[in-house]
Amino acid sequence: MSVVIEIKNLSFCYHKQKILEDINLTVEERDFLAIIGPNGGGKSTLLKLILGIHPIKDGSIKTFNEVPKKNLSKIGYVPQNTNVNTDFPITVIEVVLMGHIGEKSPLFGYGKEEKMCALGALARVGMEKFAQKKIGALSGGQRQRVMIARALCAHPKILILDEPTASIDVEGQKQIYTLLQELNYSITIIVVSHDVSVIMQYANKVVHINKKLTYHDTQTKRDKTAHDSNHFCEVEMFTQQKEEK
Amino acid sequence: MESILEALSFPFIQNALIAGLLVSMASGIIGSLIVVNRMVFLAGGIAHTAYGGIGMAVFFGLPIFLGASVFAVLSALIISIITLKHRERMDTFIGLMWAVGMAVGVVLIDLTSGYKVDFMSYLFGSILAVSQEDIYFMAGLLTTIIIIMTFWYRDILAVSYDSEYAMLRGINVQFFYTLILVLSALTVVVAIKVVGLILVIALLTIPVYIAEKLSNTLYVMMMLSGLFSSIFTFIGLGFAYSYDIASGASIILVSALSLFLFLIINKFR
Repeated sequence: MSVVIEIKNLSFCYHKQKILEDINLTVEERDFLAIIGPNGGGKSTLLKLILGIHPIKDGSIKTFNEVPKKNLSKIGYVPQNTNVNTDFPITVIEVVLMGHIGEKSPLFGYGKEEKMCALGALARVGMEKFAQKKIGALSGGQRQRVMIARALCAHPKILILDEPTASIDVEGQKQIYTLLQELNYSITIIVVSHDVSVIMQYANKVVHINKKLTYHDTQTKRDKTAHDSNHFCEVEMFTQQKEEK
Repeated sequence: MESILEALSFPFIQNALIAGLLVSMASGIIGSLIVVNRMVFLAGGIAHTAYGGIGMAVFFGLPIFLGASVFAVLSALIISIITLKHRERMDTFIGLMWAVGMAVGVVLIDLTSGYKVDFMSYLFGSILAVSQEDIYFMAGLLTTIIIIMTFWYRDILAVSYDSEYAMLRGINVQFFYTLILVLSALTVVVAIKVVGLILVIALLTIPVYIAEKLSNTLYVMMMLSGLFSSIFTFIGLGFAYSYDIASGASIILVSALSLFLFLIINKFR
């Protein structure tokens, strides 16, 4: 399988404070990578570096063998807070169409192809019936699926999600992860998450970031801890991690 | 009724109605942008800074609209730069500009010998004194706004709804943010003529608030805001003429009363 993201010896400082130190990470095509770690541990910063929002000074990140800024169109991004701005007068389809901006567009309005593509993306996440609804009328989980559809609109090779299931009920969380699993057949997926117990069932690679990066071998962990139930306990995992050290 | 019909034959009343319509449309579009971008306080700052421009125009004998526009646009640009660098100190800076702008205006008007400008007319508006040139200025501004909104609607929508995502998709967020601020500044200046400095924020927010509750999309919200704003302006003008009261205050009270009724009806719907 080919390498889609390669991070080498990356360090990053913000206001003279070291956020990330000596990060090495390789993401391959069709990986399902979960990034876990404490708040302020540098997870979101790493995403922003991959997305080319912050300039890199120390080390290197390559997406598809080039600097991140060159391949932004191949990366779909689903931001963290989808519950802000729910009063905004915008329909679901308009939010999804936003995925097309930055491409060549008609003089004004939206093109027919763009609309078809947006509806297709909505169908992929099972939200096509809600196309004309106001975004604020949806539940948190439904809104998150719309945001995923927006990212899919640009036909990304990699989908990056920042805390996709924060503030979503359990049923909604499950739907999101099942959807991501389906998408994973054709798209590389990177998820930043707190829900360690859930993410372990879906991810094939798990890394823990707290300034430094530690790999987790998911398969053996799953065997060790998930013997008689599907539930994966965070505490167990972290104690194991300590023992290993 | 007859007196209203008779009033309609006066050129100054006709000018007032045209100006009311043009400004309502502009403030409907821009007011919607201000509200969805949560820039109401910013618009207030720009409006009061514009008073410094009015003072400057009077002092140097320039056209009032020109002075106010230059000051308002400059303050919009300063606010845009500050937001880029020190977002967390924004409210302090705006408060500062708000006060200093007013003070500069008052001092410059005081220093202008022999010219006692009608202070009240800028604070509460003077739509009945709209000139032909004012109308040209308003029509030009409205046309500019409509053209910009038509061609950049999707970009402006994206920046307003989710600026982080827009930036990732390669949109120059700072440019559109500044554009919205500059258009707000110019709209505030023409709205000052209609309802005055003090009440300009009410014209930019009350009709918009009602429209927001009734719209699913931004452009519907803009059109509804313009429509409500025009209706309130016309009814307000009618009262102002019939009872000989200040037009700006009358327009705002009609708007506020309508909002009140709307909220009650909405509650029992």
